[in-house]
Amino acid sequence: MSSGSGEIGDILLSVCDLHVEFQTGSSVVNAVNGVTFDVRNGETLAVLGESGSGKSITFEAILGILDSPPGKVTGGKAVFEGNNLFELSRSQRRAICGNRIGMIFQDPLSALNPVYTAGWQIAEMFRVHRGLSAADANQRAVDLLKLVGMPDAERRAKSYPHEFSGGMRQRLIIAMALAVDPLLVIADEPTTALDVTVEAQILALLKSLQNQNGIGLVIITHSMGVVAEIADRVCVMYAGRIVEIADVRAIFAETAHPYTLGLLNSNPSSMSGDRLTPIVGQPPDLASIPPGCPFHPRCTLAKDKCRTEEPELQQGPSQFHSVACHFFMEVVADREREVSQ
Amino acid sequence: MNGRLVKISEMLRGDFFALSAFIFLIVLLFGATFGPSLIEGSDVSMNLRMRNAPPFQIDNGFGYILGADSLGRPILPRILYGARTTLAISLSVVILSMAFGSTLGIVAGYYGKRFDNIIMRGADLVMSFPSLLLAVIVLYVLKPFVFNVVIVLTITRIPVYVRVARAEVLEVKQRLFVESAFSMGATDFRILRLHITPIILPTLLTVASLDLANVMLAESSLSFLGIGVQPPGITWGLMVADGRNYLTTAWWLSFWPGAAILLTALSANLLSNWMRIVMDPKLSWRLERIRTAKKTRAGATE
Amino acid sequence: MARLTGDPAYLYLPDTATEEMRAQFREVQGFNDPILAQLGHYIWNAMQLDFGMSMRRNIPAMEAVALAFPWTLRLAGITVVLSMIVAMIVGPLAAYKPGSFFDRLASVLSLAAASMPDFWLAITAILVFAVSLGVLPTSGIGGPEYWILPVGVLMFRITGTTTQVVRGSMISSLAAPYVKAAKAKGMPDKRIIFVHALRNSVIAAVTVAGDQTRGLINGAVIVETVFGWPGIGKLMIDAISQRDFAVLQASVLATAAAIFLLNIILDLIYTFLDPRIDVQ
Repeated sequence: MSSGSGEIGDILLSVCDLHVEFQTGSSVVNAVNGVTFDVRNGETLAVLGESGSGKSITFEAILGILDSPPGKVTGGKAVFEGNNLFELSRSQRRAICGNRIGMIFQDPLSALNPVYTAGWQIAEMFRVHRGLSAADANQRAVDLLKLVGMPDAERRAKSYPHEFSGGMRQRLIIAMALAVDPLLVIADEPTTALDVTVEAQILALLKSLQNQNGIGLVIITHSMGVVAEIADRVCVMYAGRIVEIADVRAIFAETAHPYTLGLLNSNPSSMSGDRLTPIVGQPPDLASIPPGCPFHPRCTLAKDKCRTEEPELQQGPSQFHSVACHFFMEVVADREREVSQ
Repeated sequence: MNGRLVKISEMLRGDFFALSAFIFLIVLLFGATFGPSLIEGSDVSMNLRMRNAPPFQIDNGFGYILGADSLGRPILPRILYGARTTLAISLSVVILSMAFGSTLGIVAGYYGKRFDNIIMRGADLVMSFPSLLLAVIVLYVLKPFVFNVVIVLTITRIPVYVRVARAEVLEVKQRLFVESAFSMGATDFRILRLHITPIILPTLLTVASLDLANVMLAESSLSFLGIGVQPPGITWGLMVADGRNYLTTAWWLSFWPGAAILLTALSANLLSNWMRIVMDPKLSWRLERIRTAKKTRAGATE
Repeated sequence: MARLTGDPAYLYLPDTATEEMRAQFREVQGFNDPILAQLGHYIWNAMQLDFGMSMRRNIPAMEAVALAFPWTLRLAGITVVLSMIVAMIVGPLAAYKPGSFFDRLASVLSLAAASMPDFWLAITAILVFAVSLGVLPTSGIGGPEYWILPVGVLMFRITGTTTQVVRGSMISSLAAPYVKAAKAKGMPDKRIIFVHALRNSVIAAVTVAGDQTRGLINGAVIVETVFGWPGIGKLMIDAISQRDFAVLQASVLATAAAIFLLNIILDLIYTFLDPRIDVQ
């Protein structure tokens, strides 16, 4: 398998000030609110956040697979291979999906068509995107299954999705996503539906495939454990905004946002080994976000300024570490204290 | 209650087709009841002078506006008379089948076990056989009197109500059961029946309104084939059959009665679609939207 | 069986028969024998597919049925195939873009189909195409032009209902997650509708096709009568007007048997279509 084009470190995808709105009945919900980030070749970017943070919607919008009557992109750019994806025609966009950008879905059973065999669904990628004959496509599909570690690949290719176990299905999805050598792969909660042992296998598989092919990998997750396992950089989202973005070591050692800190402390695989302290309260109702910083109702460090002025995503503790908090210095200080204890 | 009527009439206005259908049916009912006495030249006895008179000739009198048949009888009044028969039969069938079918369905759903099995088997049996065929056979053996026609059509329609009533009762039974288990203890089943029936009634009415068109079409088909209403009775299907021999010379004999069937069935279907939307709170907001939009528009222009 | 519903001599023989003839008839046909004997006789004959002679045509009733059945099968067969094709094209397209041309077409079609008296449609079609325009024959069998009107009229109701059902099923198929996944795989829209989603709705289409057999037979009776199509429907109506009870019996039983068989075949088709069903 050939590697992705370009050098390691090149920017693959550049998202700038993305806004996505959802129209539900009479109210308008800002699901994604000014999101800006890059994904580079050869790196694994983890997009971390609770459900409702807008992390999946961001990428659905980029790929153009949003549920379009309620959802709508209302601003921003997503530049991939020199093109702003939002300015492309529908068929041009569709040609990029699967081909240059692959997607791995959270629930493999519902992402697979129940009436076609596994082999058929993978071979489809070759037939449609590469124009291979049915026979060739089927053969490539079997090879691909072997590559993702599916035992007894030839027989399995003729089975139907409901005949596989969860972990096997996820391998299937991964095979489909990587079939025609995309440059960028987006994995939406790839291991949430799996149990812990299988999770480790799948993550290892993803990492090794990335190393082999030199692709850019985005992992959307709510689990710190996954982040710790395979991320190179981390982007934390809350209420449709990015609140912190840094490389993985900095996220853990020099946490700069109260929300990230809260996630660390409430997560069982946290490295601190202290008691678990969950974050107080619920994620905000996106139809009526309070003024100022969206996190302030649940923030233990909230001050007056937080209630009135929304913090911008700006450079934080170091050059490649950005954070959206008025008082990030305090957070960093708190974290350093915790870590050193 | 008054407020509800106002609301319903506004929702009717919101849907153009349903409104037209409603108006058509009202006009038809009025025409069927009073029409023949109001229209000049409504005497439907034979008038050989007017044999196969073509339509749209105003000097023949309003009664002959749609032409006359092979015996000189004016078509428009005959259509109105036919309306009486057709509507009478159709309504009777719908009411009877709804009454019997729902009762059977309620019994099946409520008492379950053996009742359920027997009743549902019977319903399946009747339902799996083509209704026209069944009617045809029974009427052959029993002689086609209007009474028999009504009976046969009723029997073919009962299974639908049985199914719907049973499904609804099963669903309601689950809900009420929990309540009654806690609050009432030993309940009088009759009271429960009085509670269940109002809940399932709207659904049954919707099915009934949908069925009206089907029954009408079935009765017309039977009459057309000669095994429904017999002359000297007048029904639309029969009129269409009479006109078959004169297709090349007098197309209006078959055309108008058939068109009447089509328009009436269409109106019944449109109205029942509208009823379905009104009864379902999830969908009725659509009609309400139109209503409020029209109100604001009206208010803005004042 | 005839006993149950009245004196068979009246049912079988034309009205003009004299009392003498009726008495003779009863004797010859064994209606004066004890009831059990009659029943046994009847069942024995039925098993051999002997339903007696057609009073009118002077051939065994079963033979008349065997001659007529294929005509109905052909008519019904073509109708079903064409209906399914139309439904599987209009239905998915209607579901894909609600409010579009196809969607409104589907709604109008189904409304018209539910309100249309088929005999009137047949007659009007004859009026327009055969009488006024003279492009099609009024009735009978023969080359392709004789099929157009009968099939067209018979198709009307069935296509309306089937399209509606397919559309409904497609709406849920298209809302399913695997459609979103297929979009992410870069599949073009047409492929998504007709390959990914439709395959999941085929079951619903076949189910409704099964339900439609009743409507098909009902419609066939009328269409055959109006167009002079020599099928089982016409045979039955003629048997009634000719008081040919033997033929009527044979036809009814043949039809019932055919329906039964069809249901079994349909069940078999289901197991092929849905890989999730176990063949038991």
